[in-house]
Amino acid sequence: MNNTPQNTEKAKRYFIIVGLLSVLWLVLFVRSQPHWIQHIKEDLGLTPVLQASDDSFYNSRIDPIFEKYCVACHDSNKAKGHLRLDSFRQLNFSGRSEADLRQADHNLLIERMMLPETDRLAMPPYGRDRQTEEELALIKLWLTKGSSGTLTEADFPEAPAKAKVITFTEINWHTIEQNRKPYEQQVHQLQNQYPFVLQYQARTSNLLIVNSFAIKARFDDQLLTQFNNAVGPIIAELDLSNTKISSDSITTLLTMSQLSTLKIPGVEVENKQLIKLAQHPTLKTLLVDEQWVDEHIENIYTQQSIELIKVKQG
Amino acid sequence: MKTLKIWDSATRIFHWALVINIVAAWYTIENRLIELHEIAGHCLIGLLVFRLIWAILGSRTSRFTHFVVQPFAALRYLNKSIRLQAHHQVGHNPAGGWMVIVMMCVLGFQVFSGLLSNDDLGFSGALSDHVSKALSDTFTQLHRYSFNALVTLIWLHLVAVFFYVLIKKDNLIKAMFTGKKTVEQAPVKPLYFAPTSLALLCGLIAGAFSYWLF
Ligand code: HEC
Ligand code: HEM
Ligand code: HEM
Repeated sequence: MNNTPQNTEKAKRYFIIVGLLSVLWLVLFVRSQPHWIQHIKEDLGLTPVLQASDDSFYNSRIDPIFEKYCVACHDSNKAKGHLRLDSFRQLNFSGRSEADLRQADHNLLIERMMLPETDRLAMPPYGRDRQTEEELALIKLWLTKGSSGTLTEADFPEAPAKAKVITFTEINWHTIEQNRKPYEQQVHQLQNQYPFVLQYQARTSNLLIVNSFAIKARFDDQLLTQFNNAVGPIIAELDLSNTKISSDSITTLLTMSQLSTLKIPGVEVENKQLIKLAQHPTLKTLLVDEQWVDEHIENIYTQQSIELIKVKQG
Repeated sequence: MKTLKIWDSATRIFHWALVINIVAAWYTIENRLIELHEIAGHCLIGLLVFRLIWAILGSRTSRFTHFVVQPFAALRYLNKSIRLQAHHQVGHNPAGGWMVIVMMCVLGFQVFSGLLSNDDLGFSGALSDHVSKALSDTFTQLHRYSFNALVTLIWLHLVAVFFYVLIKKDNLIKAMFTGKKTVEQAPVKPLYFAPTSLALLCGLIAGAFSYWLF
């Protein structure tokens, strides 16, 4: 091979053709990346930003369906089949097939979701949580109405109402433990000393229920003071039915800063002590023998919006 | 002018098996045949391992020592070759030698990342159980990206090969099939060709390794 001018010319032509083919290939590659093109157009201000409005039907009703069944494999992290379904914008870019996923007829999304669940091409793939008929119908409805990112729920009167979602807030055991910490020792001590009397309101609560039933014959003003000194600020419910406490204990009760339910049937209370008790800052419910209650007292309790439950003895 | 054997059959078979398996790996994944894709991948592991052994123990023209030269010498050759001022006849040319290294590295990464990949449908590469799911997901992405790099390299490879065939009128492709080439002058020292039995042994070892991974 000699570097005659003729041959050099040939070599040049070869590399020009190769260059052109490379450029062509690059163009085809970029064209198969619609999200790049959209980005460039948006950056140049040629098109508005492609996204669904916040109040759109898509965002409130369609997106959650994809969220639930599809994005585990079709988001920025995975993009299986080069498809992302984590937003209206991404849905527009379609996947490897470059099919138009916004067309109403022969929509690839719908077609693959409607395949029998064991089909090799079914979406979501076999073994995954599958969408319901209603959810599929909703997507179809959205498609037939133009696959819009702006129409709102009001534009879809025929769509069944959105199901209420009840979410359980996750229990943070660490915080609960932290909240219980300050009185943990006292609670423990009392529980050992008086079994069955003291317990937490719930597994997630740091507040206490005191039920004096097991020791009602011994439960007097002194014992109440002992409880109050130890755990008074975290008592929420206090059942003192048929105990030996006297009206003097009202002063103690008034210092319990989180007390909301108090039960004192079978306990003698003077009229003016009951009036005093109505000033309790957190009390919500009071159970008391009917005989101590008159109209005046009832009025006061209604004013304080404390529920007064009168118990008939006998 | 003289006809000379430059490529032993092991290297030739290696090359075309490589081509077939890469096409197979691509075709199978495009058609969602992940099990077959894995087989093609493991064949490629075997081929790569074989080629590495062969680059040390094999025939003269297949050895690293024959075709890996100083990088600057390779660039100088590339520059001259494009201007038709230099021509290399026996074995890989200095620039092509580096191309072989780079291709083997990218291909090596392709199979390595494949081994750590998963498809979220219950399939996972042979080594992916040894890493976390998150890491496996990352390698699955890298596996996708590195295929683009591989395709680009193959394109460059073909551009170079056809430059020789069409412009330099040196039919490398035929040589890769027949092993023979017409050269102006035979090398002073005759080329060494390793015995076929050694090739078979190396192939067996590489195949066993790949199968053991499977
Ligand atoms: C377990 C992972 C997984 C889940 C979940 C999943 N997909 Fe896929 N999907 C894939 C994979 C893998 C591909 C690529 C291979 C293929 O086309 O079958 C794909 C491809 C697709 C394609 C073809 C894209 C194209 O352009 O070629 C569509 C459409 C699709 N999925 C829709 C869905 C929808 C809708 C859902 C939810 C209802 C869903 N997928 C849930 C894994 C998943
Ligand atoms: C999947 C695509 C391909 C890959 C990954 C690939 C890879 C390689 C590798 C690694 C070598 C070095 C061989 C060795 O030393 O063992 C090589 C050499 C070669 N390949 Fe390919 N190849 C591919 C496709 C092709 C095709 C389609 C052709 C022909 C049209 C071709 C022609 C050649 C030739 C002629 C050589 C020898 C180069 C020389 O003489 O130095 N290759 N290829
Ligand atoms: C042991 C070898 C290999 C294993 C186990 C393996 C595994 C996988 C897996 C699990 C996927 C699916 C990824 C997904 O679902 O997104 C995949 C995709 C793919 N693999 Fe491999 N692979 C191997 C080797 C190779 C080789 C050698 C090539 C090419 C030469 C290759 C090319 C591809 C391509 C092009 C894809 C498609 C990626 C995409 O989704 O765009 N693989 N491989």
